[in-house]
Amino acid sequence: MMEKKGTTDRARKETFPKVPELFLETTAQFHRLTGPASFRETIEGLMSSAGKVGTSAHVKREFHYVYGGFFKSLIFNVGRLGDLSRARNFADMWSDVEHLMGKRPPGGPKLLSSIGRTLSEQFGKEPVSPKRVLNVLEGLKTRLLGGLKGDFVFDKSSCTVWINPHICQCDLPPGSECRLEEICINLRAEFLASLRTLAGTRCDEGEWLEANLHLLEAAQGKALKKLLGDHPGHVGDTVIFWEAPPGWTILTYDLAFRRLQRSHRSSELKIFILRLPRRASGGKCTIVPAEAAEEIDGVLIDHNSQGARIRAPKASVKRRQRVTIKAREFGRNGTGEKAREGRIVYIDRADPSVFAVRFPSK
Amino acid sequence: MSTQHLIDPSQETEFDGGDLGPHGGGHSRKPQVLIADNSGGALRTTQEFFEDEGVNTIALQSLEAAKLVIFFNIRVLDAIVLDGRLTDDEEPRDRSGYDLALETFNQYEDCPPIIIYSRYDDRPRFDIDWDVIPFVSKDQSRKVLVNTVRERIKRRQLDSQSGGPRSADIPAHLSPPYIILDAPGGDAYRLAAALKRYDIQAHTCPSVSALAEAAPYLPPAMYIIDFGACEREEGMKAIRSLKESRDSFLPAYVVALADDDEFGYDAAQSGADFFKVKESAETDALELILRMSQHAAQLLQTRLVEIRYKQLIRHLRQIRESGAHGMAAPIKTVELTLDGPLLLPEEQLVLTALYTQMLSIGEGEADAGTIELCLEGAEMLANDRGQRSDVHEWVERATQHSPNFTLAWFKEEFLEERYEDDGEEGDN
Repeated sequence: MMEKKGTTDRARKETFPKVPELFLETTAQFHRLTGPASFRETIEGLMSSAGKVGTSAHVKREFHYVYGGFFKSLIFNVGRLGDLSRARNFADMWSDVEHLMGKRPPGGPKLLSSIGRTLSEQFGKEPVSPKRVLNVLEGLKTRLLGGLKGDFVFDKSSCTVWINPHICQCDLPPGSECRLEEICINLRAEFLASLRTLAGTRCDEGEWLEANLHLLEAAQGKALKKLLGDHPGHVGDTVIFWEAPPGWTILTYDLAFRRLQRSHRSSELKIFILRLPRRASGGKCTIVPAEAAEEIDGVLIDHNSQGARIRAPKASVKRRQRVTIKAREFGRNGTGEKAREGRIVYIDRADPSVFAVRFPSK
Repeated sequence: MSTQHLIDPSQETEFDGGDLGPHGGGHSRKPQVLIADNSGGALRTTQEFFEDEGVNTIALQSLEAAKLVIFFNIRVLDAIVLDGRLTDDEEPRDRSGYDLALETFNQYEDCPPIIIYSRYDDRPRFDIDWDVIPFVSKDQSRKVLVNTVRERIKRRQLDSQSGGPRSADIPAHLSPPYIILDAPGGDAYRLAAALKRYDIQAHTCPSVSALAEAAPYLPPAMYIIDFGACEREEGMKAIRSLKESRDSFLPAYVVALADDDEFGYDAAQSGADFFKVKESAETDALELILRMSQHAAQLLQTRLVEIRYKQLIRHLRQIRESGAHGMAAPIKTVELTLDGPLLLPEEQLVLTALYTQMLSIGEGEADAGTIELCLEGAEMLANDRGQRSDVHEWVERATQHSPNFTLAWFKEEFLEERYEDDGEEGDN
């Protein structure tokens, strides 16, 4: 259970903010069904206080593409283990599955590691048959793919290019209807500008967009649609961003949406970013920069298992700098350690004495 | 379409001793009568008449379908009504209904009564004891037919010490039969002979339409459709219809045979379980036997699952009524079920939700609402394996009550903390 007392997280408050119209982006849909308890509670709380809850056609498409693809590959590879009825140690079985999934599993390595660790806890040390694992995975897949929420589904993306980039039936009369035309033709300039915003940033699609922006800008009409269909993973966020209607609040875990909103639709969209709850502190802490002997005193503003915010007027720190933070509260953070090592990921522009350190995953 | 298999052998068979109830004595079950008539209109009218009289019927238009259905259901039929000219009404030489009556009567001990029901009185042409196989003319009222059937069922009951079919007598068909499409151009004979060398008696059926008509009343057989013995479209249609003719508890296993790979895609599209390019008869037979043994094992497992769902309900009711702590017994039942093959997506969803919840309760005490939701899930499984229930609505509602009905498998430690947004709108 999450704590409701002594945290700085807005979602931990007794009441959730009133969001009249809530748009569930792909990551919000995912975490509602399978994320940590704090995320699920935040999402459910926002949904229950919202007047309307919506999503989009491309959220659904991306959801099935990413998570459906992940489960399809995982189930296929568990099925390759052989003698599916013979019970065996889960850890040994999972190690074989990870090997079969390869270094770049669909959906990314975090999905695979996380489900593996959760199932390992669930099955414990008792031998388990691959058949049982398969049935449970199928059950989780059905729950995930059948659990999308949204009474309103906005669509500016439906087009055959997502199925086969080489086939676009949009110009075949009569009656064929292309929803992607609005983004690719009517909103082409705005859409390309938003791709430019993400190009070169640290978000997942930034690198690819930077390398291929010139191709996207040169493409018109069906050629642009084909390019999008060829690279659904790299343009998905931007397509969804334009599907969200004015006046709505996008609930997401993906920071790319904040960046897009600031640059393009700041007055007509709101963004609510999901993040882990932080435990408020105000206690003393010590900062030890890497390769420095001196210890600097500071105040621990708040923290959780993934990081901490600190105020230290005497410290002169830079982004990406490695530091060790010592604080009594860390010992109560579940780790038992009073010192945590990490990198500085954020320095407050208004008050440079405030910075944040991200701890590596255990 | 779901199976209309006569009587589920796992069910108790009872009779009510009513007018048409054949076996009296405080039992209750509607009598089962097979009616075969090649005239569709007449068949429907006769069937409706019997149904109005409180009789369960199996209505078949084809002689070959009737033969197959009688063979596999002889012990659960209370009476058989056959058109005399079962192949061609206008052909005076057609004696197929009479032949089937004699063949059936001679083949089975304690055979249910057989009644010839025909527009044409061909009795002088047959050397049949008409007291044993009575004749009713279609020119008479259908009431006469029903009365004759009623009288014969009662007579059989008086004559027989056994008192008619009982659940213990009814074949469970747990070793499913092989049924081969045997039409010109195919290799049914060659394959049946090869199977016989392994002590397997395959059944044949000469037409795709008869197979499709009989399938709902047959045990979960392996059907072998030879694309050499039918048109491409006809073969695909047959495969689809055979797959759809069974319910998911007892699915049919359909094999498509062909001379080359050309039909592989069609077979897969139609839903065939296995596509095989013909090799030698012995190789084909061995491969089919191997596949069949796997299929038979899966069917046994499926039967077992049905029993386990009922067991699960009993365990949960005991916990509810006794207020006992701990979920050990239901967890064991759910685990055994999850170890089995052939579960449907709805079952996997409900079982996984129950499993996650029960493991989280462990040795502890569950609240009354959680127990009720577990029972509701188990009942959905026992009723129809969750197929006609809104399992997504159930799991959503259950998770609202207790988050442990959904496994939160994406762990916090795999998330990154977001500081870039601190102090910005909507995130402070």
